[in-house]
Order: sequence, then structure tokens, then C-alpha cells
Amino acid sequence: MTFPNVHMKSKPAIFLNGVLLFVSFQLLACIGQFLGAQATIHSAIDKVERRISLDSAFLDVGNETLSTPVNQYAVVRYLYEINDELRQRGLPIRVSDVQGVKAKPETLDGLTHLRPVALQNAEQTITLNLVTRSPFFTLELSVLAFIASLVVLPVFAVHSRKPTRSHTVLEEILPPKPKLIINLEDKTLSNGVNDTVVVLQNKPLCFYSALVRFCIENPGEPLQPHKDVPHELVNLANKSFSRLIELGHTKRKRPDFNANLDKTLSEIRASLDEVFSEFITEKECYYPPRAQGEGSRSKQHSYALTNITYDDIEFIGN
Amino acid sequence: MKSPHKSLIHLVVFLTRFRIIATGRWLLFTLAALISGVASYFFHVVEFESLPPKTGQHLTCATALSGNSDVFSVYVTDGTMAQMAIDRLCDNKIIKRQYGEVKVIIGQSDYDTFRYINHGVADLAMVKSNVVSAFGADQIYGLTSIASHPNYSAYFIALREKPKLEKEYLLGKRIGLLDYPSSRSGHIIPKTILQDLGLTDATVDITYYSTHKELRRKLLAGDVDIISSYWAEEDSESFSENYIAPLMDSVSGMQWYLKMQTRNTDLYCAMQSIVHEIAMSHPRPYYKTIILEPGCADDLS
Repeated sequence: MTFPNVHMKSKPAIFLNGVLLFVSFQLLACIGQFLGAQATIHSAIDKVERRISLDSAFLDVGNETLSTPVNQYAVVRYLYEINDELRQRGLPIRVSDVQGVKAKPETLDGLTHLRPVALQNAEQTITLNLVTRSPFFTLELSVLAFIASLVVLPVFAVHSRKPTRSHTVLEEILPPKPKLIINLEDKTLSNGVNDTVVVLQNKPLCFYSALVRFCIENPGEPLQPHKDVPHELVNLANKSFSRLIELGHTKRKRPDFNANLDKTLSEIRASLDEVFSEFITEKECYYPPRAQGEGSRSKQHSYALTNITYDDIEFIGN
Repeated sequence: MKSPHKSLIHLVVFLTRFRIIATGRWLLFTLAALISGVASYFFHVVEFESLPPKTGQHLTCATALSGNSDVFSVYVTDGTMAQMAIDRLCDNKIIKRQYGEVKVIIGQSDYDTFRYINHGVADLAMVKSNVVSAFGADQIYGLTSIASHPNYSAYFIALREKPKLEKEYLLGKRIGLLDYPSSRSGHIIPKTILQDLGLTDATVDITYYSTHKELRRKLLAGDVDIISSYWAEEDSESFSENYIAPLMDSVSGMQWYLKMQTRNTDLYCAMQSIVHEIAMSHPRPYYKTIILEPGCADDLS
């Protein structure tokens, strides 16, 4: 079985991945070790507390109510005994003092993490200090973490397709951009995104396709309604009409593109309104400007498409 | 040109496949990390067994003496004496004949003495007579004295002058006494004297300690001006015999008691013999003098 799409990473990258994996697993192992040590110490504290609670009834720890003092000798001896037992059983804990009577330092085996405990009975409070190993001392390099990183490394040694994915996702997220499609074969306008298709009559179709081309090739050239349609534009419109004849859509003589210009533009605008009904912003680019308000007869008004380029448009059957 | 619809289908299929691959990788990572953490936890966690009691001190024979399940209980308050007793008792033929086990309990406090004697636990005990008579253990359990160490005196002992048993002298003095109320020389007698002199806890500064040894240490250290205790031969090394004031002449000495609920005379004599041996070999001079009660044919005293 082959994996044509699997590409190995470079050696330093694999090494770095291995190190990162080991560090991650070691971190988790350390957390496990810490919690384990903490639980162990907890269990040891429980055992010692329970032992001393029970023994304190038989140990002369003094009595506040009766004003009797602690029997130093008996308590020191007791501390020696219990610490010896704890050492033999390997508990990470020693009893440092009971009611202020301290154990001999050598019986504490160097444990220093102090944990005070107060045991209360009906007549007094017995205070003691326990010393434990610090849970941080148990942290060590984990062989298991090393093995785990070796096991997982092969999966991370191949290239992830993550960059491709994020690019694709970006494309997926962005809404598709509508683009005007002028189809001379079907005599339709469409937007390339949804299924809205509008059929145009021959004259407005030819005039509009000619207008688009004229405006792309002559940007900034004003087209004023009160003047005659420029020759170039009429020629382009005639060419489009010839193409329609070639495609078998009509046999009639070509129309006068100068006549009824307003009506032609209105039909074009109506069609564009329909095609771009969901894309108002994009429509601006394709929409022959209307005369605004009082100045509808103004000499400054131009129905030229000012911002259009070949990228915004697609011709079919041209 | 590929239709937008088809492109979309391809995109969705590709993304799904990719997500499964990527998720699998991180799933493996998470799994390995979890295993590392959890296994490390279990490697480091240790559950301990409960600790055995550490207070009661007792000695027993190395091997069972016989098939008999009766235990011969001995109560003493001195560790050296306990060792001497167990060695001799485990070897004694009368004990071997009558009992299956010997248990020598080393009492740690007045409370222990009270419980072992007055609950009739001890078969043989070396205690003060007042403990036995206080709750009638002699009558209830037949505790019979088999031997006595000599009576002694109780003293006020000071470091630099002879104490006077006068109210004016003792006023404001720091006096060290024993905390356990069964002690005659260290508790009962001095407190009785102070009471008789009309001194109370408010007029003298009484500090309680746990042992006679501790009393002597505190006197030497200057923590107290006067202590109340017995006078032992070895005390003359640390203190002057001129600076002691007798409180009471004859405090009855330590006695050995045997529980005699039957007329077990063999045991009575065997115990006298053992007690005598222990007394003779004990390092403390006080114990070397012992008076045995009559009743045995070969009277050792």
C-alpha cells in the first residue's frame, strides 16, 4: 500500500517535533507524579494522624484541664518509636514534635516539609508537627513519556495539510462574487452565483453588450442622452446584432440604435435589477446611471459605465 | 468549466477527509499524554497500611512455654527490671508448668499502674502499697505482698541552703513537685505539708514535673528552688546532704504483689525466689535491699 500524499518533514523539523512531544508528555507525567506523590503523602499523614490520635490516650502528653505537664521522656521515646516504624515501612513522613516536645533531628531523616496538625479531645488540644517529603522532590524524567513520544512521533513526522485547509476554509467562508455573464447564445444575462437568468430582447441585448465593451475600451468617455450615440458604440452594437443573426436568433434588419435610447436603457436597467436583485452593491458596476432629479435633461448626465473592466464580465457565444 | 455545485461537493468531501486525518493525529497525542500522566500517577501513588500501636510496652518469652493458653502477667514500671523479670520467668519451671506465656508490662504512667492493678490484670506487680490499698485490689483480687523494698524518707531538697519547713521561708519559693497524685514523696507528702502550713498554690510557686529524675535536673538547672523527693545514695554526687529537710521519715517502700486467688504456694515461693534474684542484680542500690514475706521453706532472706 502506498501513500502518494504523505510527505515527510525535514530532519530538524522531525527532531523538533520529537522534543516538543517529549516535553508535552513529560509535563503530563510530572503532573501525574506530583499528584501521585501528593496522594501518597496524604495517605501517610492520615495513617500517622490516626495512630497518634489513638495513642495519645495512653501517652503522657500532659493535660490542660488537670494542669499536668507533658512527660518529656515518654514523648521523646514515643517519637523515636513511631519514627523508627515509619522509616522501616518507608513512609515519606516523620513526626517532628508533639506538644512542643521535639524528636531528635536524626530521626527525621532530613524531611523538612512542615505540616502542623491539631488533635482536639474533650479536655485539650494536642498539637503536633509532621514533616514530609516535598511532593516536588519526586518529579523525575519519565521513561514512559519518552516511549510515548517515540510512538507518536511518526504521525507528526509527516506534513500536515493544515495550510491548504486554512486557505480552503477562507475561500469557503467568503461569499462567491457575482459576475455579469452576457450569453449571446441564449440571449440572457445572469450573475454566475445563483440561478437567476433574464432573457433580453435583441436590441437592448446588442446595445448593452456594445455599451459594456465601449465603456471598457473608452473609459471616461461621457455618453450623453441628448447627443447621438457615438459611431464606435453603434458599430459595436451592429456587430453584436450580426452575431445574433449568425447564431440564428433573428433574420430581421438591424435596428436603429439611436432611436428610443431611453426605452432601450430602461429595458437594460430592468433586466439588471432582476439579475442583481440579491447583489445591490455589485449591480452598481454594470448599471447605466440614471439621470438624477431635475437635471434629467442635464447636459452633464452620462449613461456610460465608469468602473467596468473585462474582469467583471464574461461573454458567452461571442 | 466545472460547475460551482460540483466544486462545492468536492470541497466538502475533501474537508471531511482532512478533518478525520488531523483529528486522529491529535487524538493519538491526547491519548498518549493522558497515558503518560495517569501511569505516572499510579507509579507514584503508594497506599500504606495502618501503623501498629506504639504506646504499650511489654515483653514476652521468645517461644511458647507450653500448650496452656494462660498468660502470666507481670507489671513493673522500670525497663531494666522488666528485662530481668522476663529472662527469669521464661526460664522458671513452675511458670512453665502452670502457664503458656509470660507478658511483662512496663507501665508508663500512674494511669497505667491504676488500670493494671485495680482491674486485676497483673498476676505479679511491683508497685507502691497505696495504689493497691486505694481501691482494695488486695481484697478484690487477693494481691498479696511477697517482698518489700525498704521504707524511705521524703525530703525537701535545695541546692544552696537547707530548706526550712516554715511558712515564712517557703512563701514565694519555687517548688518542684511530681504531677502524678500517687507519688508519696513527690506529691502527697509535700502537698500535705504545704496545706498544713497554710500555703496554697497562690502563695507558693509550684511547678509539676513527670519524674524524680526530671525534678533533679530542674533543681540543678535553677528552674526551681526546692524539690520534693526521696534521697538516694547516688544523689550525694549532685546535691549536698546538708541541704535536705526531711518531710516524713517512713514512707513505705516499693512492694512485690502476687495475685493469690488460689493457694498456689509453689508459685508464691518461685516468685519470691525470682524477685530476690532481680533485687540482688539490679544496678540501683535502693533495690538491693529486699525483705521477703515468710511462708516458704527455703527462706532466702
